[in-house]
Amino acid sequence: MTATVGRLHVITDVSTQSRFGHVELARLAIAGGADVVQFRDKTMRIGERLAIATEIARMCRRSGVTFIVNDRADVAMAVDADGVHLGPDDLPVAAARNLLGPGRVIGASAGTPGAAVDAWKAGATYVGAGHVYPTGSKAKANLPIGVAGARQIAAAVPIPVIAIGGVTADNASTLIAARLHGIAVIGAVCQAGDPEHATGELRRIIDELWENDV
Amino acid sequence: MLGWRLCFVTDRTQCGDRWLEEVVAAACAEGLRCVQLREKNLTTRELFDYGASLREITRQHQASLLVNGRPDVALAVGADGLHAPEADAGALIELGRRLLDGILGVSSHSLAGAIGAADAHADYIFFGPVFDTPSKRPYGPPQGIDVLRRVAAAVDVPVIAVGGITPERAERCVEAGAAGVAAISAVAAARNLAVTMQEFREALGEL
Repeated sequence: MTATVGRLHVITDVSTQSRFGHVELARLAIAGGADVVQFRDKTMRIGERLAIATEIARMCRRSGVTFIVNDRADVAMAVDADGVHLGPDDLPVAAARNLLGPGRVIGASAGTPGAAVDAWKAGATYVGAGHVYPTGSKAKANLPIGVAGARQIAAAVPIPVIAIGGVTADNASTLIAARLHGIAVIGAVCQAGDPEHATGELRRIIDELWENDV
Repeated sequence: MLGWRLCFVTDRTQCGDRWLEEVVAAACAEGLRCVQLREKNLTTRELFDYGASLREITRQHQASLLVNGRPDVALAVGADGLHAPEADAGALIELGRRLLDGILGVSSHSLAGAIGAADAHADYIFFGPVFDTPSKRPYGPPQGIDVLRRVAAAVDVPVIAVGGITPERAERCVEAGAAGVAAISAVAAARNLAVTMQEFREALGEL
């Protein structure tokens, strides 16, 4: 399996809104042009979590979209997802790589170049650099790293760096212009009135900048 | 055969002024053969860290390590098996069978639940609470020795008695047909662990 690391990651979130469930958000994100869907939930029981992951995996496979499960390597393995995303509270990257094998995607959150290098050396496929901007999705202990912080991380590792944290249609062009590989969004899509349209807008911003650039 | 008759189920909040790892290491040194990592309110990383430490300790003593409820952590630390709480047993057994090469145990809190677990080919069943104990009150009133006896007679899977287990009660559980017992506080909060483990050894025949 050689899943690519796309440029537009949409993370499903039902903790900050209740209009859409995970499956619906994934469907809208795929329709809007996301190339990675990340299923993130910390509260569900395992049976429900597996059922939802199975459904999103099916949709992603049909659309050629990369499917990543946050935190749970077992769920990713069970539904044959493309990979996992690991934060500092999740399994160590090396342990997850050991379980998932060489082919699957492992994303790792990093707030500093040092943490990014550690993640890369431990076997990460990409780095989620952040949080770049202030964000309402989670209470954060650290200050935003800004575009400059994300660029420093990108300069430190030879793997794709995805900017995360407070990313919106207003600042996405700045991040892409800074030559970061891509962006990951939560609120900008999940809390949008029309998540599919919001995803499409981000897709156009990314595609225009990368086409003009390369 | 499970290879153990006493399972220490962990609870880091009941270890007094000792670390959980210290308690496990001391109990293993006294002959404990099985540890189940069962810790609430931890992140995946924290649970993994406990699991990795306990794997190291149990490996040194050739004891089994089981992980409660988390196939990912069980896999990542190289545990010998997975233990499924009753509420998630169906999904966890299915997941465990697909991902793990180890033993799969299930908790059940009724005769019907135990029969269901046996039908699902669990490798062992934790049955209880047999006696009253604060940690098991969420799982209903004590079932008592007589229900334990009926469960042990009804299933051909090893039944491990849980809930308020002490060495003296362990002997009664075995007499009622249990293959072994599981304890939290009797081990975690033992005043003299060597004495407690010897008492369990005498009650169970072996640990």
